[in-house]
Amino acid sequence: MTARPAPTDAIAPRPPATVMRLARLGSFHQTRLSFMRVLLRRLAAENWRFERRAFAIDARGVGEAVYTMHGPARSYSLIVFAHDLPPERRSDRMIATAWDATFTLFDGVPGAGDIARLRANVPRQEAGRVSASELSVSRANRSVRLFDHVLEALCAGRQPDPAQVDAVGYLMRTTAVYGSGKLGAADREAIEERPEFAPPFQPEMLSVWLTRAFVMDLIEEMARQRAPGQAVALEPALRRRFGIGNSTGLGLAPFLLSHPILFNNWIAAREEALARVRNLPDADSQDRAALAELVARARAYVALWRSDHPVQRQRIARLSADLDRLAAHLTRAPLAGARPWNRLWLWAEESLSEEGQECLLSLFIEPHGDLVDDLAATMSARESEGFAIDGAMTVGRLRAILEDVYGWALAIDWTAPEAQARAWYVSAAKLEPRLGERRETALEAYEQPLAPGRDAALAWAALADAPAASPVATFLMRHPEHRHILRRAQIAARHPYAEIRDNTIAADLMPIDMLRAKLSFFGAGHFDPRSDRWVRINMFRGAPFPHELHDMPADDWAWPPAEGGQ
Amino acid sequence: MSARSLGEVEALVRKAARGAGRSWGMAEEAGRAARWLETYGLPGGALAAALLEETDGVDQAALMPRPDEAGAWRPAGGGGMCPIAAGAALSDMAAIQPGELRLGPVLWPLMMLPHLAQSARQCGRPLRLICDGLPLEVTGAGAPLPPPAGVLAADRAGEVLCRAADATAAAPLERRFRADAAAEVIVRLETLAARIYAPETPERRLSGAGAGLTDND
Repeated sequence: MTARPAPTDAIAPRPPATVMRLARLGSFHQTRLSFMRVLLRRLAAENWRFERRAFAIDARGVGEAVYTMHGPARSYSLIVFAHDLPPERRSDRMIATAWDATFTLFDGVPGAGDIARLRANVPRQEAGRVSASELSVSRANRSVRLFDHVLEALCAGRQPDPAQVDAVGYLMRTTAVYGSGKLGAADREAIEERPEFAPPFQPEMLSVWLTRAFVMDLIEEMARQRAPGQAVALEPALRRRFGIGNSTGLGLAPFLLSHPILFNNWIAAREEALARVRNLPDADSQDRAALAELVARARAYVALWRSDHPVQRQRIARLSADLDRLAAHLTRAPLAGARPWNRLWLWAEESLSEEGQECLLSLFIEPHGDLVDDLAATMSARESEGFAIDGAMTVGRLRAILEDVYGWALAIDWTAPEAQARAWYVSAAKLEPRLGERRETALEAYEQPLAPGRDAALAWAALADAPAASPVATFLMRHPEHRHILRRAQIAARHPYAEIRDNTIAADLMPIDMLRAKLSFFGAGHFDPRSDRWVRINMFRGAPFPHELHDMPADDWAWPPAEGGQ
Repeated sequence: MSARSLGEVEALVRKAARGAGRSWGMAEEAGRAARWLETYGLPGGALAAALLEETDGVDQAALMPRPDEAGAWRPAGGGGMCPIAAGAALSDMAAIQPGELRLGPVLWPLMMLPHLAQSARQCGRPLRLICDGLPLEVTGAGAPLPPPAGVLAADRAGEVLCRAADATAAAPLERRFRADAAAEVIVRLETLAARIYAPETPERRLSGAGAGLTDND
């Protein structure tokens, strides 16, 4: 982090007890520290070159393609296998076995032998195997409604209806993006020392960004072949209004719990960014104009946000009202005086919903790249570095940690049915993570370790008889059943934002809160929950395509233009 | 041999250990240990499969180390000690264990090496385990020296002595980013791991994400 001279009364980052609640985590929005924005800033700054090395697609949309980005030291290629999937086989669920298109991100430029090997494996996804030369494996399905509309329009020689484009926002949605050693791909530790992969999830974000480009090329090519001489390409500005969708289920939720140091580092960077802006001594007319424009752009973003989910609809309505209130407040009380950003923040804490507050956080740091962008380099983690247990710690100290980090859990009556209503487990059928009703389906024996609050309360009770001055090592020799949670507790003592401070097996748990927190760090927007445990999102909407990356601002796309502006 | 990613071996061994009756925290130790061994070209997956099959269904408490009157660690259940449990306890004690420690009998003693390395990193000095006279040694940075063939395949060590080692000029094994677990080993681990997956029922099927909804929109 940059060493800025901090006044002695510096405003500290928000405490974990405020931030690490599920309702708040489930209100996060993308920021300029989100991983897809970090990626595009790097590709632009380092002048990465795009090459469409292969593109052979027929009128049905079947074929193969290779999209390569050449960087200063290395190249990476998205290899695409496009299929013609009958509608009855189209499913966003993990249990699907066929997709409209499948992808892998190759480390370098593939030869014919590589492509032949991958052709036999990538279209099979989980049933196939890839090698250390591959960095990700993914698949996508068409959004049939919009795909058909756009194809028909292009074939007829006209542009699609912008209202329909905005209503869906993408032509395909990815339904899984595997990285980091999955299905035999390269482990993160094999590539983490490359500067381009130092921030988290960069291969996955690169893969998704190239996928978006392929999908747009695909539909234009299909139109060209179906209506030669008559078909048109998409007008570039309208084309950029297509993102790439994603449909995400419960699989992402356990990730946050099983990567406590990584999650801490994401949150810590975001909170530090907010604190830096709140500590700014003053604001000038340029700052005031920038914030006003951003509020208008946030309103345009919210206007595009569609969801049929009753809870999310309410939240969007509240956010919309929050932004109106914010705009009105800024007219009455513009940023001025000492620490004007902090004054506005304190007003927001009193006046706005959590959706509104977290959106304001994104807007606060948006114009302050020079102040916060260095934090992106702090968002990775080696989870293994928190693995060793400090057995010399005394039981007394450990109890104090449990009371501090899990005090909320020690206050819960864990014998009440609603406290342990749910259990996380993995299904034998397709190895997908699920959340079941504990009592109804006898899941106890299969429960995954994803209830830190409950486990901390159990360990705390077991520690009651251990002498306060005795070492934790002695306790663990007799109680291996508490090893998992004591490791977490020690990690949380060193990393304040490592632990979610809510019950992850409660009857009223909304898993989508966990999904949204993670996806916001990717840079996703337009969260559209389809149930309490499944969400659709849009990624890279408005972003430049690879071929135009150097012709437009690389990082001014995440908030759409204000209505009336362009 | 099938080239697996290190992450795959770690996850599979963690699940297999849980399937064989270890607590989640101990299963995590087993996964990490197998991954670490594979990182240095040692047979972490194969050793884990052998250990977990041998101790399958044995109460975890019986496999834990328990100090006797003389301070030596003996298996709580009287049979053999789990090398993962013994190694984890060694690592837990790294900062407070004075001088030498005697322990044993220990099953599949090479599986203690990852935790010996973790202890060495914590204390910043080379450590050695002498297993029935044969040395297992790690540098102060936690890298292993090539283990003697006698320990590589040993299914148990009667008496193990753990103590500080002198700095050595011998070259440690090199790290790599791939595991080499035989397909047969993977199948054995998968058999144990399969026990932690809940069998499908119609009710459970509906508890997945997005169940019962259409995606043709």
